[in-house]
Amino acid sequence: MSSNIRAETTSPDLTQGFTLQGRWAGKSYCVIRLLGSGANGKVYLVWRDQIKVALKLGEDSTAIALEYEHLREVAEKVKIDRIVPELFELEDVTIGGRTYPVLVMEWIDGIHVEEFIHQRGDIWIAVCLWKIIRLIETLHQQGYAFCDVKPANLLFELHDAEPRLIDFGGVTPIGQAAREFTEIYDRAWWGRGSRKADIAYDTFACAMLGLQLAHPIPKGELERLQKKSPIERSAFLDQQLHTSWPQDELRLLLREPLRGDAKLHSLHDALIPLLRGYLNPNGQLKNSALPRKRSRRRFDATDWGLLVSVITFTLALCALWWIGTL
Amino acid sequence: MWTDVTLKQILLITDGCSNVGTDPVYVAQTAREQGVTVSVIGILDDGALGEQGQREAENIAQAGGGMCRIVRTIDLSHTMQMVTQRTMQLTLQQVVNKELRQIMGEDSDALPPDVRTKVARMVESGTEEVDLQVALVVDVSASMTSKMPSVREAIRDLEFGLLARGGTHRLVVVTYPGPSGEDAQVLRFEGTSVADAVGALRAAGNTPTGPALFLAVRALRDLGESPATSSVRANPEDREEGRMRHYVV
Repeated sequence: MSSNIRAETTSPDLTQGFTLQGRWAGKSYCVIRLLGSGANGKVYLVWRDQIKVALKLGEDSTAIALEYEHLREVAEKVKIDRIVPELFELEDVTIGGRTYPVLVMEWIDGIHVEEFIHQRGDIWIAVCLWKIIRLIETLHQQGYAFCDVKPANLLFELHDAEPRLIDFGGVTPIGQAAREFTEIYDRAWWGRGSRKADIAYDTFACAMLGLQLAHPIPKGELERLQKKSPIERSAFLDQQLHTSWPQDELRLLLREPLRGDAKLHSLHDALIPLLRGYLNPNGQLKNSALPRKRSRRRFDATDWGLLVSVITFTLALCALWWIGTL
Repeated sequence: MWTDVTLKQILLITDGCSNVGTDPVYVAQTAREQGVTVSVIGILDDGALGEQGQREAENIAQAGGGMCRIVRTIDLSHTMQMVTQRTMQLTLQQVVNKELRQIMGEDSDALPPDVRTKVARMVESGTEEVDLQVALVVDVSASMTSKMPSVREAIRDLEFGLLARGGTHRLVVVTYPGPSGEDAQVLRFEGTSVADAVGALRAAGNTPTGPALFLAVRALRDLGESPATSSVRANPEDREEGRMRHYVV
């Protein structure tokens, strides 16, 4: 073997205004800010011409090329907009004398699912889950499993509250071994089946996402489970599914897909009656389903302005009355 | 194109520095010359790793052509998976690069993106299909005692990952120091999982990393002569493979 496998991933930190020059397509990218870091590198928000795009700066050119390939192939087959982020280019850039592979794609401006639900209320968990499942089903139809289903790989767009998948690094042809996964969303870790990328693998992960949103397992418990065998973890999961949750309908519904061998569409279909239950006959969310935070709106500048003007007005009237009595 | 390729890896898991026997860096170097990649995971929490141990870990991986990761016990399982996977991927990449250099005088890193994605596809199918032999070399000296349950579960987890692949695999575990004064031992296990045997370990004694690595190289060589355990091949994409071969040749 000729060259050494790199010892440590150290993709450089880029500051605002730093400009990267693409080697193949000749575009330049001006860094705005860091969006996040993942298993395969760092993602920056950059200017590409006059458009803001996401630029993934990687270490491993094979991993980045594969992510590009999976994205490209899915995008080519699925002729529906907004299933995968729009792809711009696979590039190489040189920083400080070293070449790094980059993937340039659409920037999705959104918030993570936990924050989305925190803003709108727990009633949205089932809705979110249902929308996420629909996205992943389109991937399955193309012969791919998403594998790394977790909050960090999803964003809810601000303007239409629709989920988007943002990290395709874990996408694996159905039937192969899952390459990227996160323990608590991993079926094999919980002793509920193999680590083969199949439909039921994603179903398990989606159901676990529902569980984590509705009735999260404390971090300490997860650390304790790390030292336990999959059989013991499986028993713990059973226990979680047999104590009541704030949203108990959801608990009952997630039991089946968390067995590890359920089809995704059965979870999809099971969610529908629950979603109907939230709607009144006019198709609007019931009162109980409305955002919790509405009654707790904070004072903002307008409120303060109003208060100050009322006080000033009252004082002015008092002053006038006082002048009048002189 | 990958069905008759066998990759051999050693993965060393330690929380300390070697203190007896042959220099582990030297053994890693000889392993590499025999086509075995050596990677190291150093465990940080409450161990004796220190600066010296970290440097040694990096040197072993450097000499063995593999990766080095310094992590906390909690990340062990994930790291073992990742290192095995990444090492396999990068080794295959090097095989492909060697061919490319002969044909086109270029590494895949120097190829235009549309060609590179095809190479990446080939490596992807390789990581799924090649026969893989892994020797885990586990430090069981006294400071590792509290970490043994995590190590055991991480090994079990690695087996799950290997079982899900299309290609065959063999997994041997070498622990050091041995239970009755010897440098190291190849773990014998009856039953379904190597991990169960690891649970029964009693940790004690010196840290003879070099001799343990040496034993692992020999265990891998012995494996080459015995038949591999085959996992079920799911849906082999021969058509695609053919296309890739056509592309390279």
